[in-house]
Amino acid sequence: MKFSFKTYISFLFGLFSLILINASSESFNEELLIKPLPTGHVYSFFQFITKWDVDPEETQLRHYNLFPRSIGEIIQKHSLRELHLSLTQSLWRTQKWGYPVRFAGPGAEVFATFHPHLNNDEVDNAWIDLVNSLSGLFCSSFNFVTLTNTIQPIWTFSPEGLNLGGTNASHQRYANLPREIVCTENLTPWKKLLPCESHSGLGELLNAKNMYDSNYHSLALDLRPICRDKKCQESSIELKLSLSLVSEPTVLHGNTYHGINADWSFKSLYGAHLFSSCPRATISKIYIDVTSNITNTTHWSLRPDPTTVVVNQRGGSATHLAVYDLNEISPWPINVRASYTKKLSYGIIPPPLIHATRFVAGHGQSKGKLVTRIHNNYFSSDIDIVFLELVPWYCRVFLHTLTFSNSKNKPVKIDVPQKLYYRPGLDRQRPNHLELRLTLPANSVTEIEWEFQKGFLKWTEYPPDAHRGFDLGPAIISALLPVARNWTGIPRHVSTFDESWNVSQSGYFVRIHTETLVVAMATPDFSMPYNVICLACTVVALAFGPLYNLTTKRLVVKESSGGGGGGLVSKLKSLLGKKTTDPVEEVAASEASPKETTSKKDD
Amino acid sequence: MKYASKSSVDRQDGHSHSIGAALTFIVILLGLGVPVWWNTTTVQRASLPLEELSNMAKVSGKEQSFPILLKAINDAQVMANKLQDVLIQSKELLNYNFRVVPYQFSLEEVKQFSLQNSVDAIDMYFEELSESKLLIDGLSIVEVPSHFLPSGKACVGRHNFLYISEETNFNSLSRILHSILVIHDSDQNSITHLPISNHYNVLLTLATANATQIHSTLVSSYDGNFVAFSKKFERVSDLSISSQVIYLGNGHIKANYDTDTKKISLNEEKVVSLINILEPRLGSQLSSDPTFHWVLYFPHVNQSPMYIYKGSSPVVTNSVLSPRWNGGGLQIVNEIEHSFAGLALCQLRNALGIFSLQSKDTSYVSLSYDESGVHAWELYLLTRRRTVQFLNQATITLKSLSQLLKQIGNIVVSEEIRDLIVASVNMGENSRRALKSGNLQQAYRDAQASHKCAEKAFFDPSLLALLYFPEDQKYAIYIPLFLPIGIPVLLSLRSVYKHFLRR
Repeated sequence: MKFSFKTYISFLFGLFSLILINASSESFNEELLIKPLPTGHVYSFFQFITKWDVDPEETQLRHYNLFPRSIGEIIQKHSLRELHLSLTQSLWRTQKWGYPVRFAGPGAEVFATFHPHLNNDEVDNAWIDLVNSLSGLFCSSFNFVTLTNTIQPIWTFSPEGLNLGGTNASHQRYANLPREIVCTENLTPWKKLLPCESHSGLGELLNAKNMYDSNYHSLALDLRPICRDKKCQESSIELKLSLSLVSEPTVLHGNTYHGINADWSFKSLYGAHLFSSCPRATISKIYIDVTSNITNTTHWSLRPDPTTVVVNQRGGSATHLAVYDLNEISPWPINVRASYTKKLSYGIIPPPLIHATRFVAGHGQSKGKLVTRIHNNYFSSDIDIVFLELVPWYCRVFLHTLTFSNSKNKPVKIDVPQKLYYRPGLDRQRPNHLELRLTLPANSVTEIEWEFQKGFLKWTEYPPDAHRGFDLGPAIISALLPVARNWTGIPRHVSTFDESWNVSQSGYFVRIHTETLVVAMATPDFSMPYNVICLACTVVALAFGPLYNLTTKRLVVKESSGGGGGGLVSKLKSLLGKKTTDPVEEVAASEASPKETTSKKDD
Repeated sequence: MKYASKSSVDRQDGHSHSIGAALTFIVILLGLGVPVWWNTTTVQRASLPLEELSNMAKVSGKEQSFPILLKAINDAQVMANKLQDVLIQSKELLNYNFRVVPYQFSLEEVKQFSLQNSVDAIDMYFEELSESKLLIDGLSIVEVPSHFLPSGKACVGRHNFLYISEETNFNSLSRILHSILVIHDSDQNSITHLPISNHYNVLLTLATANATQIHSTLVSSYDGNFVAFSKKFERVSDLSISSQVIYLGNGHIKANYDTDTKKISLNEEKVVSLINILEPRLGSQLSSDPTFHWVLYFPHVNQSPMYIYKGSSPVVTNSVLSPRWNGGGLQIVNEIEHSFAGLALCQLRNALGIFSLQSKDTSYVSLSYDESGVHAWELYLLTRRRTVQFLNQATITLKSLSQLLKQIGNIVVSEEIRDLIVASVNMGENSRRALKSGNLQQAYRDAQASHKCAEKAFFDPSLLALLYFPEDQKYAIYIPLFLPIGIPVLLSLRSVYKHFLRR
């Protein structure tokens, strides 16, 4: 057996090593962008991009090299074309921090596009299976995504990758879980998807303790088909794992005697030095935004010196970036430090073009009002936006109460139905879904508000701490900005920062997530069902007693039996001298009553 | 006196009236209230063939007929009778119910024989003839002209089971048959087997500490071997083959370094540390089918070459099996040229339950394996065994389900579950019948279906719907109703009884 096996195996081996199989190539890039924010915070954006030159429609993904096997299995099993998910702790403060690279709402958010060959029901099933798989993969509560909080977005979310055709809104699903808490148990499985995990490369900097000791933290996964090369004859799959972090070095240091200390270093932000680059990565670079150092009054110096400094001109604004190429760095380890020569002083921060805020108005436990205020700070022209609101079914919104108002009293018009999409919610089946396309007048604040009625829930539908209230997801505002002020993102047709510098576009896409809201609902006393049963039973029993007595017992006249005879009661009565001439005995409906009736019969 | 008599009549009248009312209450409460309450709070249980379930037994060897096709050039009928007698008389083969079916070669076929020049070629000829059917229907013993087989030795084939000539002794034939069946039908080392299933995953993991190596050649060689095997195995069960590369960074394994021989070695204890690093990266989030793992570990440059030692001598294959991987294992590869795929395939065969013959036995010769690495007759024997295993597994599942139902009153049995159980029982019976009549393919399909239904019924979440609703709560909630109403009504039973006793 053995010898024969060996001979033919060695023969086969020779044969196969000659055949050059059409091995699908994979490439991996890792990048880190660090941007000191005007508030003294430091924004770090890690991105890990795996590109796999394989047809996205391929159903037989079998050999995984850099691409994580667990994601490949999910793509295949659920006929997935695109997947975007984020797990975020706290809120990105657009007004102060500008725009992030990757937009994400508080809590968990997931958007997926499925293959066009699935019909609507199949997409629903695939979606439910998908969120369950994701919940297992990331140790998160994605399994709480059901059809009751899922929508089919029309304009706000659309496939971000290469358009392979065939899909429309019915193949898209979006859901959010505003109450999701993100912590270490989500970061650990996320890190496992990186080709170098946390052995080497930028993954080394992802220490859970420091990641969660921050002002803002967001994990994301984006999967999309992209062009394989410039010609775009074939397509590939791109998996982008990204992590956004906003740390506050001034708090980490504490206030010193000399004023605010805003110095930062890898050690203070991430708790570690960088010991090596990932040997599997093609591009491995760190970019530090040094624009504020050059243009503003604050001065800080970087150490060690960067490999190069590039100037990124786009959309009418220039940013200066210090680049560290990890493949050329020596000696290891490195710990990039920024030290301020002049102490940081806070000034007025010019707000970005569009930012928004949302709140609940109204009082009482039956009605409320959802108000969203969108600021357009652009002086020269109006800006078109798409506004999306996903309201759970238990907040029954009224479309007729939807009103728009503008701070400059300029008209905000909506063409119905071209620019308004509304799908009313159904109790316990689907949420309310509103999408609007509207134009924000220049340099003004537009207010969108509509009223809702709070529904009554069944007692099993309340969450564990019901008195805290119910979380409503953020409203989402998407816009194409004419200028790139405060914009740090990557254009959609490229993957890495490396390719994105000096790429001017006709518009700069932003997606702003507002705050999540807490709505107080009428909450019952949860021991109520037991109380109701007990009370109902008691009432029935109380009604039954007299009824029973009236029907089975009679009032009879009892003759006086002189002395001696009669029961204990009459003896006692005679003793007390309260003997009546014509005693009427009421036969009590008690346990003793049958005895008495029988004794009377003997008379 | 008159007054008294009137009042006694009145009393008598009133008494029967109240007795009537009490009786009405009793009848309404016991005749209507209790049954309604009982029916609305009782656990739903569809009627099950419990009798049949408890009578199900494991499949015994005698229950299955074992057809052997004897293809002969000379008088097939006579040879068949002779072989049948020998097999029946053989003490070792008592557990089998052999049925020898004679088949006489036509002149045309004999002519074809003479065109071939070896047993190998004859076997290929037979395989080509039955190309359409990947799974054979029975073992066949073929008589070939005596010049093909020197000194009448039997030859184990690829497609056909055995080749014999006129000179072959039937007693030695029965011994050979026994020795092969003993290997194939034993349930030895069942820990190292993959659990029985309709679908298996085969995952090759390349664990490496050197990120620069290119593994596409390894993957292609692995693919070539395994695809041929899985294609042939398809009729027995599905195999989905995949591979992954995991990068272990600069992870140094705690290995022993021998300064004299300058060799890095892992002994039994140290191998564990390697397995511990690998295990968290092998799981799958999506598939619950059993997975055969084969891990190739490329040591870091500083630790290469690395060898696995057992005691003081190195292991020839430089590999180790892990009992928790269902027969899968780990091989250390120091040079890329290593023919790892042969070893992995060999282990996969073992894990699936295809056992290799002992090469020490000199009473017969055997043909070498083709590119798929598995013989048709081996698959036949495996299918037989798997049929029995599926049936036994289904029986065990159904029996434990019926025991559970007896023990725990709160388990809900819906109509669908009932249908599944009935289907499983029926399919099992069909399969047993087919096994008895010798139709193995039918039996295998039915056994698979029976097993699938049984598992589905057993693991259906609807069974658990009421499992956490304790019985005492059912009564506790209704106590405020039961006590104030029940007690007077039950006590009035006594007076009613006395009333009728007096009459």
